[in-house]
Amino acid sequence: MSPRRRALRWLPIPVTTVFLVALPLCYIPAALFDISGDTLTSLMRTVLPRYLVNTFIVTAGTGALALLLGVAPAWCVTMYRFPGRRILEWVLILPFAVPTYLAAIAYVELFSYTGPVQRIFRNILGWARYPVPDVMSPIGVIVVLASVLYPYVYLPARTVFTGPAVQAFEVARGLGHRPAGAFFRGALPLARPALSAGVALVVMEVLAEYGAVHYYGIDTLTVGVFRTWFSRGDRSSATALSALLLLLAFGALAWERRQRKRARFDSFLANPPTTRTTLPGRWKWPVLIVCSVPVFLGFLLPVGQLIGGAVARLPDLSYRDLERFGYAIRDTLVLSVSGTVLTAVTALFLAYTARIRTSAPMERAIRFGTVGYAVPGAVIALGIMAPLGWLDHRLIAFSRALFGFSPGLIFSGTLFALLWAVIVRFLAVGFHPLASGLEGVSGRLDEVSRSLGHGPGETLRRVVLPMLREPLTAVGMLLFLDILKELPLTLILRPFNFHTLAIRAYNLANDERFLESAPYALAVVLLSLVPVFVIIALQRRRSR
Amino acid sequence: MKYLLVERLTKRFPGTWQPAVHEIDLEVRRGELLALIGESGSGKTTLLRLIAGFEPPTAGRIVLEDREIEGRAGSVPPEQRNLGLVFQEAALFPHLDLRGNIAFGLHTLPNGARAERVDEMLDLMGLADLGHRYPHEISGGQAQRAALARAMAPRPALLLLDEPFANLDPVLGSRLLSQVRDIFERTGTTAIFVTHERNAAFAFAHRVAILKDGSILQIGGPREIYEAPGDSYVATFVGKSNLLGGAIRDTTVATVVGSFDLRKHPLCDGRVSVRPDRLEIVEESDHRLGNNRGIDNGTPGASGTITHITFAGEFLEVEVSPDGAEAPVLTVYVDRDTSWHRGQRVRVRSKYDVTAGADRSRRR
Repeated sequence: MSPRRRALRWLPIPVTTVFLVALPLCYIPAALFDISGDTLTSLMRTVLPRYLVNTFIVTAGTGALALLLGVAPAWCVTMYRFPGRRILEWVLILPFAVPTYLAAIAYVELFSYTGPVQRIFRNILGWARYPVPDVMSPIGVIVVLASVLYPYVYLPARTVFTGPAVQAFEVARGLGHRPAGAFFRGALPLARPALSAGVALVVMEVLAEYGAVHYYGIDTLTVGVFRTWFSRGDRSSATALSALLLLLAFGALAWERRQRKRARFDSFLANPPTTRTTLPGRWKWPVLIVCSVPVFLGFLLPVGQLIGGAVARLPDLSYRDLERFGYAIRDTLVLSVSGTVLTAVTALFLAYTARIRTSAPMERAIRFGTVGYAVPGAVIALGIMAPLGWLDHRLIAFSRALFGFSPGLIFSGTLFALLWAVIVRFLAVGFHPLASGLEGVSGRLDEVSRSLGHGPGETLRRVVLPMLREPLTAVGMLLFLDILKELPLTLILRPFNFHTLAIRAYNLANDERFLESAPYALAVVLLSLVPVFVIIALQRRRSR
Repeated sequence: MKYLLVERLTKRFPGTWQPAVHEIDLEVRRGELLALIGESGSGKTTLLRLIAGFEPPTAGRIVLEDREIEGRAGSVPPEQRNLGLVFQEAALFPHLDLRGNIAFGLHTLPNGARAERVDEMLDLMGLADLGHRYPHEISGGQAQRAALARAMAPRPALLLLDEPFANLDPVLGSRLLSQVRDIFERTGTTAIFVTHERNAAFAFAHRVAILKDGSILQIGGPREIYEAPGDSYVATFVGKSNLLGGAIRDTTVATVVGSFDLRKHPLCDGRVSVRPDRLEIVEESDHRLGNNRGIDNGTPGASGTITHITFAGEFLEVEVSPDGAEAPVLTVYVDRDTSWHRGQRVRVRSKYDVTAGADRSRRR
């Protein structure tokens, strides 16, 4: 086989993958051409301004608050020695296990008339009139979202603060700046690219958020897509809104990629061993509060409320409830496990192909194939339903004409559509850690293995995979966690009678049946804790 | 007998104008040890990777053991070429112990034969006690020997070594090099060895090829390359050299330091390459036409002034600037017990005579 033919043999893998990933993403821009000017002008005159303002307020507010909630404890935990530091350092990641919409539901219950806050005011303090914060407001949603999304900032912040940023801080101190000045002039500018990238991830999550904002009745663009598409059946307006949403999300993505590239330069500086300062006594409590408030807001409060709800529900549980619960667990595991495996395998093949056959077109294709994580689930769902619906109706017509019966919606009505969407959305989550893991494996090892008589497939199995054990574990856990917490995709694309725990929890809460939803919600959190703990364990091993 | 045949092999990387390897022709005999030397960027590693099959050539043909592995008919993938590879970084598989590493290419053997071959290789490389160690538990020299054992275990048709000892300290590296050469000669291994160090190439190879800008400038035995370089680049790349011009009469060339036999010292770029150890320094006042060896080379040598003296360990390296503006600075290696000093007026002349009929440089 000629060298060119050999190179071509690998091409189908990335080409097919990227095509499948790109198809739903390209649908929205392509469908824009079919939209009449009337749709746009009527959108502009009616809902669009409100959607845009709300989206802006919630996104900017959450981004800013998440930055604060992430950076402050990251700085304290890396720079100072205080009691409880070693536990807090890792516990601060726990809100990753709490999906935004479940936190949102829990907060509403927490502050409701029958919730614990008001009960304390009434029954224990004996107040007749008391101020109650309006949770279901833009500010409420910002606080809720930021308190579960801040780990996206906390994690990169902790990493830069253990490295170059600390050096800059110490140099600034040495040049006569006080700690505060040294932090703002020395450490923060160096850490900025990493922090910006973290905030960009938060922004992407907020743009894609449906459950929490919808539950709180705040109309953002994503809520608008759902409403125009499902409630009004107005697909062209939904497409127009999706396109706008996509534009914003890609803006955040471009920002994140640029910042990440810059952040890489920091690593050229040496990583000095961190020496933590013991805090003077009067600073102990403020620092402890700064480090515990995020965990309290993002984990203890909502999970406590869910536990309370689940316990209250226990006596009323019937056999039917248990059965339903069991099915929900089964459906959740089916989706999460198969989604994790499919996405991880796709990501691995893409990363390995990119490694052994590097070329500019391949790199561009991969860059495009991994934009999915910026794209809101609702937009992906729209992009997948259109081609699959078309395909299914063709199949039905074909089958009717030929065999005289309808096979039903083979693709759009089954797990196929949902799994496809999951791969599109989370491919990057799997791809990036595996690609950087592969960078750590010397290319010489592949070549030695090839020269010793093993083909590319055997080399992958016998050399590369054993060395990727750690990144593969991490990727598996991240994917499992993301798919477990995912709501909008599942909500739209799940097959008939397919109820995951998340779906049950959200739908019951949406029907104002909080107590019934609590056990499902708690189960989601408990399941999510498994991958979070594994990720923590992996991180701890690396930081040692 | 041609064992490896490379014909008009060319590699041009996309986006570059100058080919990394340019129409190279090369033949290697069975059991021969060939060294490729050149500066970084001369194309020696690319040539090795083309032979190994990790880069597709732009044009050309490679035949190994009567089988075309690269050519018009197509390209044999690396895993089917029957080659052994050793890199500068040992590149042992970190998840396998030494036994596992050495057995890696023996997957076609039955278990018993495989274990036997692994034992044999461990013994050959002096690693007998380390079979169950992991790569991070052994020294750099041991890792390189293990990498060699791994490459040799499947009895490849050809071993390709890419600067295999460059990461080791020089003493250890040169000791390992002579051990490996003995092993290769004993086992009849054919090998191509890429290096940028002339000493390693001379010590290791039966033949040495000098690469520059993707082409082979000269190929021949180490002595031939050193004593009769084909051009001035080769002359200075493999060692210090005085490139001297002069009047040519019949088969001799008369330079400022003496006459040389053109049959033994072919001209390179119109000049003759005279190694510094072939020259000697005498007092300027020494007007005798002969010296204590009783040789009269018919010339008093070039008068000049000593400008530099460098202590080089085994000898002193003395630079003499001859009188007359155009004359090049002469480099001479002299016995380290002599007591020349900077600024001294001296004469430089060839130690050996051609008119006496015996260029006795081979006698030493």
